[in-house]
Amino acid sequence: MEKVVKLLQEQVFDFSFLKQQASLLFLKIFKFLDHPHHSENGPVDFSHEGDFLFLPEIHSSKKHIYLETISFVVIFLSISFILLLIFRFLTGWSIITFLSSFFVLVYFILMVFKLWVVSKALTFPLVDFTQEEIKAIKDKELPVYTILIPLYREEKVIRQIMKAMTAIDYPPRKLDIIITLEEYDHPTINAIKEVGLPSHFKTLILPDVQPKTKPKALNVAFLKMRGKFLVIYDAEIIPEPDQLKKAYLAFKKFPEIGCFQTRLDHYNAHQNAITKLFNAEFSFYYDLFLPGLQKLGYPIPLSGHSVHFKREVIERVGAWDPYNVAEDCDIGMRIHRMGYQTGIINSTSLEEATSGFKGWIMQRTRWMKGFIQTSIVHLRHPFRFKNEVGGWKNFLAFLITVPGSVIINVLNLFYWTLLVLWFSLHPAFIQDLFPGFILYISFFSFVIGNIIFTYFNLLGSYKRKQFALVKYSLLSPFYWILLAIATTRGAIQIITKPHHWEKTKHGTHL
Amino acid sequence: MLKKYYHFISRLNLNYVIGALTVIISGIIAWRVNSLGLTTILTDQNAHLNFARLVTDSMTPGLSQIGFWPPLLHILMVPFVAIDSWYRNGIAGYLLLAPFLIIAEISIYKLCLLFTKNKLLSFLGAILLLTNPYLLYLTATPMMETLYLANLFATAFFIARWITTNRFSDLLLAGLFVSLTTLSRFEGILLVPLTFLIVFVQMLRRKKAYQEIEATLILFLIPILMGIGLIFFYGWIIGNDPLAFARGEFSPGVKTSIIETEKSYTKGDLLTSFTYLIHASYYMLGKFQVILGIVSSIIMLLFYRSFAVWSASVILFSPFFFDLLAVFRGQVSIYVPEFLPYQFHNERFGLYWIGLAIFAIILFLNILNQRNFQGNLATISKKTFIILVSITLIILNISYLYKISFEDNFSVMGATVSAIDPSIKDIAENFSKEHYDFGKILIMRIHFDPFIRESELSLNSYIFEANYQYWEQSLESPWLFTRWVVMSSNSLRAHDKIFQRWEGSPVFSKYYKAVLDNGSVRIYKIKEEAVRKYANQRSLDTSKIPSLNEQIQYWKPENIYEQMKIQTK
Repeated sequence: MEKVVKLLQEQVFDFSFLKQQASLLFLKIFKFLDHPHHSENGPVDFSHEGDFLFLPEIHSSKKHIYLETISFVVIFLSISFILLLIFRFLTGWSIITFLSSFFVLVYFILMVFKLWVVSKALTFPLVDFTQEEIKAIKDKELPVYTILIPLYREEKVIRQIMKAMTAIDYPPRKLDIIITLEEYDHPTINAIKEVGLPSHFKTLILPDVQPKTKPKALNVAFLKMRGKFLVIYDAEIIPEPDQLKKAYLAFKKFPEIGCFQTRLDHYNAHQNAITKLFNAEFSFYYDLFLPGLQKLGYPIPLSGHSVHFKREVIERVGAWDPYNVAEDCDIGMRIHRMGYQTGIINSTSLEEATSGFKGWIMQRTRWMKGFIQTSIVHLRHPFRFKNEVGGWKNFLAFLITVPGSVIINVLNLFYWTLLVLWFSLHPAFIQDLFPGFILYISFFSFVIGNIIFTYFNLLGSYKRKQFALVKYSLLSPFYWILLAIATTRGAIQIITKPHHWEKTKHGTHL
Repeated sequence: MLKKYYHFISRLNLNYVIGALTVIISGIIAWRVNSLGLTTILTDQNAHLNFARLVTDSMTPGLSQIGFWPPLLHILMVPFVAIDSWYRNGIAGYLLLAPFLIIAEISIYKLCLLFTKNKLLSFLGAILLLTNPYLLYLTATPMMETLYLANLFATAFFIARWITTNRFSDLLLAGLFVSLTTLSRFEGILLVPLTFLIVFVQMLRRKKAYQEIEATLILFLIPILMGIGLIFFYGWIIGNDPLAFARGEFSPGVKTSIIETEKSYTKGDLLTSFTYLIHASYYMLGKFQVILGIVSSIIMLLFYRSFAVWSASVILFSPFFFDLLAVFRGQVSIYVPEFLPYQFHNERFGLYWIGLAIFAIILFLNILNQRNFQGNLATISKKTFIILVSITLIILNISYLYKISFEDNFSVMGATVSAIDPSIKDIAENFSKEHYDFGKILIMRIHFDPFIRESELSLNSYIFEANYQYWEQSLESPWLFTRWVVMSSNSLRAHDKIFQRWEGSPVFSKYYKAVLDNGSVRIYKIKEEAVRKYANQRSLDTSKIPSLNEQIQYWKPENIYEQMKIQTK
């Protein structure tokens, strides 16, 4: 009898095969829940010299559309559509009205979030060390420190970078400065020859392989570095001379922190209206926003230079994504996903603010395109990302700071157009877009929100004692129009030229 | 012994003590005021409650109902008056204002502490403020004074601390509080040029470069201009005039000029204006406190050669100066019983410099305390004098508080010109309980705030001037839209648009009959048959006429006439 029962269980009532098939089918439909991806099998491969992509492909922007993305978008849109229909049935609102209300709420949440972050930053001291502490460091205890300087068409600023690097207060024998060059970039190569490099500088000619991006250059150089820590300096950067020592002390004091962002400022802030507004934006971002993100433990979108890393951290995260045009933002997220924290040191790197309209638009287009790429990559497995990044709070912070920035910038353009239309022509359809309390929230977000964010820029400039720039920060809303244009351009480029790197021209102030 | 108490008090966090005492004492007075039926005795108290309530309960709900008065009280009171019982008994005002009274108390305490470094004396300052019966009365009722004074005192404190410590966040907070003060009462507007000047002079005194002065002033002024800008913007959007708050049809100035039909006895005479204000202060602060306050102010300004003390004093004095000018120019009137016309009116203006009086008294006592006299006898005499003055002040204030609230029962409030006619409550109750069946009531709210509140009907039962299109249509053909019409029948009727438009009109008499009249209010009810006849003659669908149909609560003014037309093939 027992045998019969067992046989029945095994042959007739055995659903394990069905369960397995159902599970497979489920994961095929809900592909975004299926991880790890097959490209993640095995350790990070640093021998891949075809395109110097060391990361698993699923974490790269090499290919944007994966089944994971498609299934997530389809499921997300379907659920949203059903919710929309239910909401419409309950309220009688049109779909357009609902969408308008939804985006107004997004605006409002973003405003509250930024206020919250800034309020935290106001009472949060940056990591800092006294001159006595810095002077007390003995040369022999200092580790080898790598400085990566990716150059391309930077002949105008070669003298400046050489001067800045030789001014760094760090024993030269413990400095491992690697300058990367493209073999066909003769003007820069000649300029370097003209200047003559000290012995602790080395140049590295990049292999002529695609993609031609800064992160690929960094990955190539990374294989050659010998430092325990590394920092990236762009061609036009002038760091504070004691920055490396501060970073060393910071890593020593906070071993749980994987990388340190520094404060950025501009040496040509007063050049013209764009540089003035650019500087105000940076003052707010690096002095009032990022410290708040750090205090709250949220993931931080890093900057492209003047970020100090531990070598082991870069190894663990698989270095930079050579296909991502905002590789800095992307690596900041990946570092956070790996469980490392990001700190901010009170040390400033001076850079050149892009001063031309065209150059500014191109640079910002690239940043925003990179933000879109980063969003796509990290949202391939949204729930996994949520768990790895530290739960729903951090996940929402990512949504607001990375994809949220892009969406808000584009929406700004739309809402400002509506506002101009309303005040000029009073079309009735606009009134229908803002029913009842939504009108108040949108009014509050628009008027109070714009005033508050403009005020933040003013405060940022004031805090940095850039008093002459304070009045120019009042023009921030016009600057945001440029930002909206650049973001829209970035959103178009993600389809037309996804990996194209629009080079920022440096040395225009010289 | 004294030292022991002093050390005990020094260790206490007096902010919490002040907060707790404020809650207890103001709670008792609020209960007392409410039980005496004085929470909504003034016309303005009813108006403030209605302004806030209309945001959620109106034919046209929303911020357009906030009106053209300084809006902060109305905006903050919206969630409180949305609760029906709090609106009806007026307690919404106290629930909102009690925290602001705590802010006022703590600001005065901290301001005194900033200069005296003496917790006991500073605490005395807070107690003197807390035991003022009229400030407590105004906190217990929906009035703007506590809100205004709290923001004014906070401004004085943050400006003074900024001057003393150069802490930048204090300057930003000062800017924020100036903004809130301007949104609390019109007296606050004077703070804008005043604080601007103080900040500018202080930056010059610190020998700051031009660009830093400019940047500091910009950052200081932005929150202030934002507050004023919002008032202009609101006036522009709602009243089609950025200056609607000052010259609009429904501005407080116009309301004042309508209500205050009596002549001004102070216009053009600065000394008389000053005398009226000082006498008002006698009632509001107590005679001894006023005299001591004036003497102390003079001594304080002579002995304290500190820009911070002077600045705080000027800020605290600003409402007195503003009202003195307003009374002198005849923009508002103030009456006290000692002079013509031997009545009370706007006597509360005498309260507004209470901050300066207390600040000066405390600093005067501190001057004495810090002065070194030779010999033990002189030192003991000095200490005894300070203790005696302090105790006398506390006793005087507490006895004054007791007398006004428990013996005199705040008789001043019942005796002011702006106290409401008690018969309003009777006629409002009679109307809502005995006559009202359904439908909208056409009324000019500017004259009938107490009637509207006392009727206990939902505010969306009324059509009045802030309902814009509804008001215009109803004023033109009331019989189609409003089942009831309320008009003034006393001296105010000259300003009542409904009275002006329809009183004595045979057309109006054809469709309405008077059902109630108490000599100041006349209420008309629709003659249904006449309206039905009117509708038939014009092929109007009677089932679509709001004045005849209980189920029609809302309609779209822009197409109501089309809807009323019978559809014929």
